Amino acid sequence: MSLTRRFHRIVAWLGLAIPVLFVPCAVGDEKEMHGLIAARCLECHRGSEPAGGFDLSSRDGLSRGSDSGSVFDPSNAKESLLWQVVSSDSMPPKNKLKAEEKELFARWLQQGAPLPESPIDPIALSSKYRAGLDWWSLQPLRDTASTKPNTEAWVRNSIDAFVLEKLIEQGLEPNPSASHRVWLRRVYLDLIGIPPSFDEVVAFEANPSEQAHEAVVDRLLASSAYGERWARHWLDVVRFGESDGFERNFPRRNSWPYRDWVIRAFNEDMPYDEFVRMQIAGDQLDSSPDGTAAIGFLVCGLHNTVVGQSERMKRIAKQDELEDKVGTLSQAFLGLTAQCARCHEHKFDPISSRSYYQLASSLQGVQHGDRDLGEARGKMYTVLSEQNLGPTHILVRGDVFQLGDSVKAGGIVGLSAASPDFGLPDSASDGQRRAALARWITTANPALLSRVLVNRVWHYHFGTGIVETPNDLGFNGGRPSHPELLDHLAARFVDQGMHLKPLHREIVLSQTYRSSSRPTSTSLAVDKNNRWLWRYPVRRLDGESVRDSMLAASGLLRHQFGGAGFQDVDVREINGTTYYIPRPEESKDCFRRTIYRFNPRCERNPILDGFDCPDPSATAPRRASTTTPLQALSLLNNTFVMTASDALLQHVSAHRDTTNDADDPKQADDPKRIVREMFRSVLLRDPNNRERDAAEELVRSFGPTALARSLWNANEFLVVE
Amino acid sequence: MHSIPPAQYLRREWLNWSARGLGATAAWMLLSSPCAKSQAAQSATAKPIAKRAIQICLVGGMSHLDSWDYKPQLIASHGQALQTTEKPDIFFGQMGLLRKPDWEFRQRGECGMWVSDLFPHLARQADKMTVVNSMVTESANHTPALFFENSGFEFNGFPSMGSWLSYGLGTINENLPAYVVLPDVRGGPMGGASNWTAGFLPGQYQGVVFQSGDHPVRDLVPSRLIPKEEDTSVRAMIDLINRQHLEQHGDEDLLLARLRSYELAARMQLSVPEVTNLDGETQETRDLYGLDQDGTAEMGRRCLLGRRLLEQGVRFVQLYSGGPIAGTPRSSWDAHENVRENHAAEALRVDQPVAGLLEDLHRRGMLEDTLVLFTTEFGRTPFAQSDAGTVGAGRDHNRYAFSVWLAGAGLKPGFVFGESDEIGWKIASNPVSWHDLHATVLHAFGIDHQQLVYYHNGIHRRLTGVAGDVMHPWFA
Repeated sequence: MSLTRRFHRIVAWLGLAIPVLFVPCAVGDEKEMHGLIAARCLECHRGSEPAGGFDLSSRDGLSRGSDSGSVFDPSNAKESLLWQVVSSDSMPPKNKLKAEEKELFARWLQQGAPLPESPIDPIALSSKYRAGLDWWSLQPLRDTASTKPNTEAWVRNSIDAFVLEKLIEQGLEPNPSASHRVWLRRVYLDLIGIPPSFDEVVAFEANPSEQAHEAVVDRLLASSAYGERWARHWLDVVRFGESDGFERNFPRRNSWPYRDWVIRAFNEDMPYDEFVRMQIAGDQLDSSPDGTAAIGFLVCGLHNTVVGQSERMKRIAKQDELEDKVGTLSQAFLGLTAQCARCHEHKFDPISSRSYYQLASSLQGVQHGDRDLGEARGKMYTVLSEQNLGPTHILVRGDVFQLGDSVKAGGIVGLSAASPDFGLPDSASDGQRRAALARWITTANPALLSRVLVNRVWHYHFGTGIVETPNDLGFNGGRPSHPELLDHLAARFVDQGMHLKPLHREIVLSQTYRSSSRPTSTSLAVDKNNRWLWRYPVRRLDGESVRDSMLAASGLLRHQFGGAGFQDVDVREINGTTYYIPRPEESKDCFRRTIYRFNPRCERNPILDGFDCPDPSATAPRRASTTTPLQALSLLNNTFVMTASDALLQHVSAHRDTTNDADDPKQADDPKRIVREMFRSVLLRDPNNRERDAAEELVRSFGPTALARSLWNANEFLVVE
Repeated sequence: MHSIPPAQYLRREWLNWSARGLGATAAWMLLSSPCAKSQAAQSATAKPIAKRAIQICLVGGMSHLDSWDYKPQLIASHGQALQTTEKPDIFFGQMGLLRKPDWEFRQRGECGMWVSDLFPHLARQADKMTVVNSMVTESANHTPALFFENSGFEFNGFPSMGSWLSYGLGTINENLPAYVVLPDVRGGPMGGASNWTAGFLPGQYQGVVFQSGDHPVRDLVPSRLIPKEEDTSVRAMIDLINRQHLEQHGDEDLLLARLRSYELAARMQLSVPEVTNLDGETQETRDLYGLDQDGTAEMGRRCLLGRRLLEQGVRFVQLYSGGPIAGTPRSSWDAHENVRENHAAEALRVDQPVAGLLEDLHRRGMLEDTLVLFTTEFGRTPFAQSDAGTVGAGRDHNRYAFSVWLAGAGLKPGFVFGESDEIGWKIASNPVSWHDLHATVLHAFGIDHQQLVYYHNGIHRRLTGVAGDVMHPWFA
């Protein structure tokens, strides 16, 4: 229907001279109207003290009317106060109703304004305006694997059955398998963030059996490099930074034990629920330094150390920090944006302000600082518990001076049948609150907890999650492309004790993951974004993998597990502000994996900056992947590139020749040999004739580092196919 | 051999350096999400006038009472106590007696605007300015207040206005970044790069710092001496490998975009030295900006470079006046100890250069579609920062009232908006928040601030949070 016609109907209804037929109230109108009321009216017009004395949440409230008297007369709907304020746009006061919403409103009034007897709970039911407690991501898991046909030859494991079903639905043909070398490089970069060596490629190609595939995956998952790769993803989510941010931005020299703890947790395949509990209340669950390190999660975000003398600024700084903590916690573990409920009920998800402040109360006692763990272990940057905690107050509209109801430490109301009340007294200690929160968050809604995690893992394997917004499985987030697959994987994840490694294994050994990434014009025409996974997506390496791969290929990489990070910036404190100035050249001790880089909140070296490493100020559930001329400039000109090029030359010169070909150049400085070895080290293959001729010419004219510099810039090196 | 299509034939999300804005990765993120919202932000009502902007950020808090906000009553009340029972939200909390301005005020130009002698050169440009004497902000603390000025939020990690503009409009000249930052030579402002961060917007919208000296942009030239022929041959080698790879793989936007990014990089290597070389400027221009005087040379160079960048198609240039916040003597506008000494020294550095910039933009006809902003994170208190009962020489932070000015791009020249109270402590009429100012800046570019959104962690984020009113009376 055109807007004009809608307009005419409304005008007509107001008694103007345009004849119109009323359409009877459609089935579903009533429910939709209740959704509209919940979304647009009930923030003010409900409860014991509704605005203007008018409660629109129930039949009773409507008939009681407002401070100005009756609002609705069924016999004369169009003259009623309710319609007057709505049609004249005086209500809602901000963001007036759209034409079609007014039309719905009008129809509903014509029907006698039906409302339920018990008040509409604005967050109970999903509508086109918001998610309710019946939202998809909050429901129990349903594993439908047994109903999926798996007789198709293409199907290797249960993942493929779900994917194939969607492909067929969309009329898409899955790509054939990628070559063995492509799969090998893919799985290396994906699982450990470093490419295989040329020799590893050759060995695998010589025996690419199914057992060999499995052996590779098992070996990679068992290597400590796996944790170094996957912990980096988690550190994005928890916005791990090693300085305070804000004005002083002081360095945190002792927060690396948390980073190491995360790496170890991945390597040990710690059950995910334990992983979650430890980060919230590790010190309460484990008296060893591990427990203290794990709760580094709670203090790895921003912390303002300059708050001024005024009471207002102190309170705001405290509340801002709590919002950041609650928001990161709820997004990381539950895929819910609870921080949106600090100033009002969440506008889109079933999270009340009360729920927000219950979570805030649970973290109320978390303070930042160093704990002294004794001479042997030194200091650790972790949670210092505030003593003598009292009740927490809901802050009306988030105003630090408007204290509302007092609440106790608790969880999100309605997330599960289990009570969100932790049963703690107002005086409960910080440790008690966090221990209870840790229990609640891992038991309240296991379906949500595991959906969020499984989706995250999928996101990192395929570049896009089954839900595109890994931190947000609420109303504003994406909808699952493969909801049944998500549930199946989550259900298996729970059944198998919440271990990540079996999940990785199943994913990377699936046929879906083995697909070639070649563009196919017919499939591109149907599904350019590859939402249905007809191919493996072509992806650019993230910044850390670019740097780590260069270190590995050039032989510079120092395998040093854990410990204090390396520092590639000069730290200067000038008049109370800390400056972190990227050093022009990295020293030898910097040639460790990038996850070990001391990571203050400030400028970084241009390679990491240019290749989209996120600012650790806010949780980064997915990284941007941009292509800019600044990246090209860095990868051509940065000192690190020169250093890696020199090192590559040394590396290939020292490399023992393994071929028995008599024609093979044996002299270390023979351009032919240098060209071949450099191609093998960086691109994992021999040059073709054209490349060889051009490369040898380049080496002869300008020396071997000119070739090394070129190879780092090859798309073949920088993208995963 | 494969021919590489020009940028406009690539999918926008891949070559993220496109000459057209409003889209790129954002369009992809939003449009492929089921909750996609329209991000066609070019508003129907606004008449886009501004094509580019330059912002001078005074770090530390410039005293409105000593510059643009003339308060005869404050002069009359000098030495008296402020009658209040309120515990004001200031930084150090000391409330001395009221203190008159340290400079004489005079009416300037044809418009008769009051400007003090603190800025003699800028005072002569009064007829070009739109002064706002009714700014308010949320925090009386430097870093949150500066973040708020830049991003509309008080924390690290939110995209700055320059990033939003680049995201919304793209760059005009793809051989240069869309958003360039020129920090004070004494050091970056508190919060450093967080002030020009793209936050959760894709990285290409981040401000690119141009340093003074021979190498203004990081990695613009090889970090060791490399013959030009070698560089050319390296690029040819890269091109050869990448084109062959492309042929084998098949057409792929990412791969094509990467190839093209090397062409752009080569062009940027030529463009940056060109634009940063001030040798071709006339002596008259040098004099206008104060390039050859000690006190003004540093800011003069940056202002002139700013004009050149704008001329070459940079969308947004941000200059900082003031480095690290604390220390003795201070190297910012943070005049806690002594307004006279501090502001005199700071104003000397910027007065003539910024006035020169305004005049130069005007002479070149650029002021018509260039927006100039002269801003500071908050103002200063009408009472001295000293023991009660004394008139100390310094002033504390005042978030309740302060002044900024704008110029060009269709704004009313010689116009003063809003009023603080009789002594310049709080706002008397027409309070303007940063959200309002940000909304107005976007409006000047023809962007509806409510439509320029980016999904991040559950929220369609805007520069203006959930607030912001366009200040229509500012426009001619």
